[in-house]
Amino acid sequence: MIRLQDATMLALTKLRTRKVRLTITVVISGLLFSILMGASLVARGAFASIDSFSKEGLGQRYIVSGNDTEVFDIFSNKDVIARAQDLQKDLIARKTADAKRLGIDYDPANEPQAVNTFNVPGNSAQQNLAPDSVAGKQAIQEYLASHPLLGQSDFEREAKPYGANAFYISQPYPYSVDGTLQVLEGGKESFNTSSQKQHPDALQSFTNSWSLMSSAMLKPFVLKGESLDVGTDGSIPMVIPVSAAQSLINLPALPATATPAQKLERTKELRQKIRDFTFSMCYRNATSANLIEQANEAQAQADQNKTNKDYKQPDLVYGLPSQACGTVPVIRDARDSDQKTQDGKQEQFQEDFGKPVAAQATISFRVVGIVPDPVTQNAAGVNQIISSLVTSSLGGGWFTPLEAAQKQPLLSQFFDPTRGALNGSRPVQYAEFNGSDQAEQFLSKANCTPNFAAANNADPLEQCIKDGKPFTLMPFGSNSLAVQKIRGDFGLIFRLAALGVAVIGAIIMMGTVGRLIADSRRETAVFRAIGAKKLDIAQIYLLYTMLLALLIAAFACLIGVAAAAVAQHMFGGAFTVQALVAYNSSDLNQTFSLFSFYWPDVLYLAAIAVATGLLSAAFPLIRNLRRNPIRDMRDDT
Amino acid sequence: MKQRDMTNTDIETKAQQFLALFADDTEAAIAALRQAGTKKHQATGRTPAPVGPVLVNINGLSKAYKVGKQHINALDDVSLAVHEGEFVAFTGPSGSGKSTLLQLIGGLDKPSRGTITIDGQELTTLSDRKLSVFRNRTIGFVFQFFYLQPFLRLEANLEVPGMFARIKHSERKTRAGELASAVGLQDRLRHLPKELSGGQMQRAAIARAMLNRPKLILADEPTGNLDSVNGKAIIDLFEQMRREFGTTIIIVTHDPKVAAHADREIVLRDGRIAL
Repeated sequence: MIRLQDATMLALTKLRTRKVRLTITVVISGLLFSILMGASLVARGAFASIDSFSKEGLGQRYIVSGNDTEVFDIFSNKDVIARAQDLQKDLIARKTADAKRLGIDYDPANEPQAVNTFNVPGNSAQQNLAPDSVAGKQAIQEYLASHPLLGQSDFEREAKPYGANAFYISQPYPYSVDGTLQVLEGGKESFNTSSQKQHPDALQSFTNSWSLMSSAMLKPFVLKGESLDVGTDGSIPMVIPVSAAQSLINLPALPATATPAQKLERTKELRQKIRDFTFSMCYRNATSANLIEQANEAQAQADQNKTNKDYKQPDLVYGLPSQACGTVPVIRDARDSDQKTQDGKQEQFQEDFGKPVAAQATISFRVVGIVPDPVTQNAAGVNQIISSLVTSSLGGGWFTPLEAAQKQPLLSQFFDPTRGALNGSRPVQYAEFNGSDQAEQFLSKANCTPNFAAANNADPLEQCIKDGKPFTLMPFGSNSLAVQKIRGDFGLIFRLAALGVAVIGAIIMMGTVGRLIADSRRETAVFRAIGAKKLDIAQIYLLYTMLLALLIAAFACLIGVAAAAVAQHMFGGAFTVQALVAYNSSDLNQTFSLFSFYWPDVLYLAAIAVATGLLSAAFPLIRNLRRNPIRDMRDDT
Repeated sequence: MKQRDMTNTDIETKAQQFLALFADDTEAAIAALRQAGTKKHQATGRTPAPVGPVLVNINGLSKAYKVGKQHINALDDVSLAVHEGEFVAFTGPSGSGKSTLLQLIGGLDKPSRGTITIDGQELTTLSDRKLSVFRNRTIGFVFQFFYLQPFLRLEANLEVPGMFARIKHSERKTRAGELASAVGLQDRLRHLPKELSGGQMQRAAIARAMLNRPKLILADEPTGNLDSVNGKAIIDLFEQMRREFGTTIIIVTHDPKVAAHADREIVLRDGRIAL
């Protein structure tokens, strides 16, 4: 082997030949490698930024949600139906006896059915439980008492073996209550149900996505200086979606074309203005709601008969409350004492069998935090990528801290688990793990995957139940698991792609290196004549190839850096805003960078480029060294 | 080694080696010597130069090529000896085998039969690697078309054989400078070959061939690409090298004037030495 310095000098002379071909090779191969270089810079930059941002929000937390898969087929459960029918008979017997005792009329035929019977053509009659009937309700409660639904303790039992260290729960609002629940817009109660808006605004419709959620899960989304405790004024804290917050403070939604700077400004404004936004709701129980209906009806009758001189007002007339969520006043009572006694007995009879006394209450809420809206399916292109990479969310919705709700009996009543079970709004369990590996293990081993392809209408969850996997599991809160996976996959994909590029690069380089070696046959022959060993010749050409490869790697770096800089310029702002909102960053001056040198990738690329070069040189070089130098000298002369 | 420095033992050894070539046929040996001397004397009008011990000894050398189905005998049973400090010219018509002979002596090709011994080293037994080292240290090549590296400055071009010998850079630089002066190119060291004339390039090639101080210079048509003035200068340079360094010179030439400068002209015809 000759000295490296000398070999380098001789190799450098090769770089001065066939400059056009050399340049084309460097540019084409360099562009190929630059794609990888750019991808590395951008992806590693993104990962580093996610790491930095995700210290807040739900980032870097490995949370798995579990929905129980138990089939709630209580409506067609024969035992429950039979029990409901028994209870119904008993109820009718008791009511008949009580009516007799009170001396009032009672027709069992008017008693709501506990079980409804349907005639299905071609089949025998089918029976279905009526869950709102008194007997139906009781039958369900009895059944649930002996067959409890899966709960937090069951989920803990599943997740603890995998290392879960904290457990949370969310309970969705069951979409309905016994009575009415109305947001008091502008502090006013609307009594005219028919005039309610067809497209209610965010506030009016918030109960559609209202949940109780463990405070620990809400904490990252609480605005600075706010608290998840019940206020001294009794107000219930509420964490609401960004879009709803915008709507509450009457900020028009930003257009899709809004610049990152505009979005950032909006975030600042939103955080400032939504703080301590309060609103109230009025709850009227079924009896109170019924009185409002009666008042409305009486009013309508009176209006219709304004000009009818023969119209005789009913003896008992209810009026609308004079203040929001007030009691329903009696505005006319012309009943005689007999009638009053009779009505009193009827009232007593109904109360004996479950009708509540009219009640209403105002509940006030205050906004203490905002949570990003869930990623919309129609987000396209870059926004889709940004949203899926940078996510820290509770999945959308309005959230009341579970702990605060438990201090408010009325709220606990709204979130009645039985009603939730009947409506399909079952609680969701959450388990938090220390590391992604544990969470991944839990997800892969304990998850129930419903088999929707099961034959003959078989229960898709049958196998899960058999396997003792009662929960459908999903990563929750942030995409930390996905990012972790992408990060792991990126390394592998990057290396595989590099190998792919290496093969293409080797073919391109082989053209140039092969041509150069062939062109240099005479020189090789002369060098051999003046004493170069085959190894010396190989050394010169391999060094040349390495220099060429390094040139390609340097060019790739240059283009890759330029491409990453362009990406940063074009999308860095959008990523920053998304991350600031998603992670509820306290420092709004943080920036999301799509540019980070990850030296192992750079060195790997350089090594691959060099290996590619050596690979491309090997074949022509071996062929060249096998040649007879005499022939090569003769060929040229 | 000059003739006058040789001891009697050396002379006797060389004489015996010479006689061995003729299988103890003393008559034939004397006849051969006479003929050679006469021929030389006739051609140059000079007395044969004194020669040292045998440096190159070729015995029964044949080289056959296969071209298609035909066997061509480029060299056929050639035997000869070249002495240290001798200036020998191989002449003969094209295809006579003179270049083939030169290349075989240079270890660039393997003979089909026979042996080549240079400086006591039998070339046909050497591995490719050892042959390379041997060429690098013992032989200097000069080509008709100079074959300088176009992108290296003259100084680096001269140093190339030293690079393969792993001679230190400073030592190479010194030698290159001395040789450049010896061939009159001391002020061209920083120039690229394209900035030199043909004669200068060939002088540079000779200097390059001399860098590792070889015992033997093999030159294939060194003046073939030069005008007569430059050709003459090159031959003078070979003479100078021989004088200053005692280098043995074998050249292949078509030019009778060049051949006339040699101590001995060996004419080849159809792969054989034409005596």
